Amino acid sequence: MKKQYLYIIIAIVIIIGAVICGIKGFNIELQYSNRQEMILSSSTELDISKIEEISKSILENKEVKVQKVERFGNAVEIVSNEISNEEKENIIKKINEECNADISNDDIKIVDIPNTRIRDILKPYILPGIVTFEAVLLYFIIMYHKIGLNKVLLKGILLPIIVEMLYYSIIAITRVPFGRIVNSIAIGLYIISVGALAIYFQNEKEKLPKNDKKEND
Amino acid sequence: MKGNKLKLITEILAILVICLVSFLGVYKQSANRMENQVKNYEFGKDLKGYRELVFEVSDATEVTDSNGKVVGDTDSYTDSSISSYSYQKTDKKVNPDEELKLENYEKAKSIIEARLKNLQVEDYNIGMDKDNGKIYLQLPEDNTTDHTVSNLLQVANFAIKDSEDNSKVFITNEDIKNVSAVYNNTSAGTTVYLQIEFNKEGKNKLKQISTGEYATKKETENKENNENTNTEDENAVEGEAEVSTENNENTENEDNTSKEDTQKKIILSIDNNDMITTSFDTPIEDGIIDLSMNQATNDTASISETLQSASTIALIVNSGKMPLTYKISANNYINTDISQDMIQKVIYVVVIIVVISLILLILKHKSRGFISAVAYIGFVALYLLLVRYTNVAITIESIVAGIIMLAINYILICRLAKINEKDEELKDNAYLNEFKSAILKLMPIFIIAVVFAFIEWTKISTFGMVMFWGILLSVVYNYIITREMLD
Repeated sequence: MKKQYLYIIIAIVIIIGAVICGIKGFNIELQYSNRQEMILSSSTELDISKIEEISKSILENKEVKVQKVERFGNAVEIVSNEISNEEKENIIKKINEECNADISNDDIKIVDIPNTRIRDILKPYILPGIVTFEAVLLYFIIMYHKIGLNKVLLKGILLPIIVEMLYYSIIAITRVPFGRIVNSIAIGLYIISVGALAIYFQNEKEKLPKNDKKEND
Repeated sequence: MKGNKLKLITEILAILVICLVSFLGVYKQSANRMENQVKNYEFGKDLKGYRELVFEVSDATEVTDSNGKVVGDTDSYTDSSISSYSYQKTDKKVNPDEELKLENYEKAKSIIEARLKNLQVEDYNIGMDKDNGKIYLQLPEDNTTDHTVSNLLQVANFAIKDSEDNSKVFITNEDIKNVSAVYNNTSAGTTVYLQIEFNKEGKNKLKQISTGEYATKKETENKENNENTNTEDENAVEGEAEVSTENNENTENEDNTSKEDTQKKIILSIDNNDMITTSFDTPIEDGIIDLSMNQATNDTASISETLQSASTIALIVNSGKMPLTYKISANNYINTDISQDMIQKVIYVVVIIVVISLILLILKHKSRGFISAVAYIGFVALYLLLVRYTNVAITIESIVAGIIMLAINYILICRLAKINEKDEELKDNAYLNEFKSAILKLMPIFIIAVVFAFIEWTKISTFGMVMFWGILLSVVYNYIITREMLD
């Protein structure tokens, strides 16, 4: 009964996640979304944390990222969802005041950066995902068919898929930024789900009466 | 009993040494500072930094020479260089307005992706603005990045045309089946060739032009045959096409007969760079042209350089002709946005979890738990050294793989610590069964790790490699070290 409730909850989360994903899509990480950026360079070294603080105070309610450009510490890139000319001027003015920099407003261009499509982000993972999924399934069938081929097939196919769907549904619902870290964890979850299946099947096999086990070996 | 204790103490001391080397390093004075002799970690694009490039569709116009031949565009020539070379600017745009459409933007993006793949760039992030075709690209920064960038935007416009009338284009990219770099060894040395193989249509066109008015006229043929006898190359597959522009020019200069003047020739060019000007001694029926890229030489550095250059031309042409001309509007090295501070926080969290888990292990299994905990720390130290010396790049993915491996190894040592048989035979059997079961349970993950390790995408391959070495080390280390210590 408890299991049934769990399945129902998982199904509801996946459905809600799919609906949110269909309507609003994922909350894409700034690195992969449509954004604007500007590179500021000064003759003196720039304090990134100070600039980040200034940028965040001016670009209120927007995602902001400040990164060092090149290797000399005198140039930074400010990235945000949108930067207006007025905001640009204010940022430069405040940086010049607070960091003793000499950044000229006229030299700075706001550059539009196009987004990376989700399918382009996920493309490299598709082939290895399919190949390993099939190889592992084959391994499970060969090693554990004695505990029930249907059981092995059903669990072997469904568990990794459901785990990934549930994970991405939670990401869509909670609006956690979809990007590098989220995808890395997704691979980790895939490994964990396969590992959990292997432990489950092996334990089931070890429970089999000795004769069945020998045949299976 | 005393001997066993001594053995255990020695093993713990050995682990301590490994921990010191792995966690703190081995320092040696170098010049005026202490330098760690232990290899540094290699970091991937997301944790180190990357090259950020913005490509925009060019709005340049063509630049021609005094004969009206297109020599470039206003992006590659400044006004002063145009006047110094006596070139002329035209109004003809390199990208006609009717070509500025989504279909071409998409095609340009897919060609850039194909080139990145051929140039073995294993981690990149590409985005495209559908409205204006602007392309954003992030590349890993290494010593090949500039070479990669310089080859991404080549138009790769291949053409075989009349040497006098450039409007007469006989063969284009559509007629090419494959281009490859090959080499041939002779007694004189190694010659590198750019081998151009044409498709069915191209083969027919090549046959037609090589038998028609571009076939070498008899007088010229005799003369060239004589020249060829002097510098005979027995291994030349398509000798008739292996005439360099320079040789032809020399031949033309030496021969002032009116017959030579009437000899029609073709030019084979890539992106308006003439690769060869020639006529055909014999018809080309197999649809293959071999262009020699160098004089026969034994200098291996020169051969390797020429081969690399021929391979680059081959991969650019093979990836297709860019439908539009792009220009680089931004090219900067950007440091990672994942700060050292963030990485340190993750490390602290992992260390705290590991310490709590090991304390729980000690509380549960007392002395066996303590020995297992020491062995576990030794495993972590060795694992980190292994990752460094196997040149596995640290990426976000490989960090996740490492954390999973720490969990897997913890489960394994917990199960080993649980074995508490007094009888030697029973204990050996219990260990054997435990390792057999562990290997079977880890096998699917090991399969995934092996497949991932061979994928040419840094994020996936580093994940695979970290898992692969982790599983291997975990099984071997626990079988040899942990078991021995627990005994």
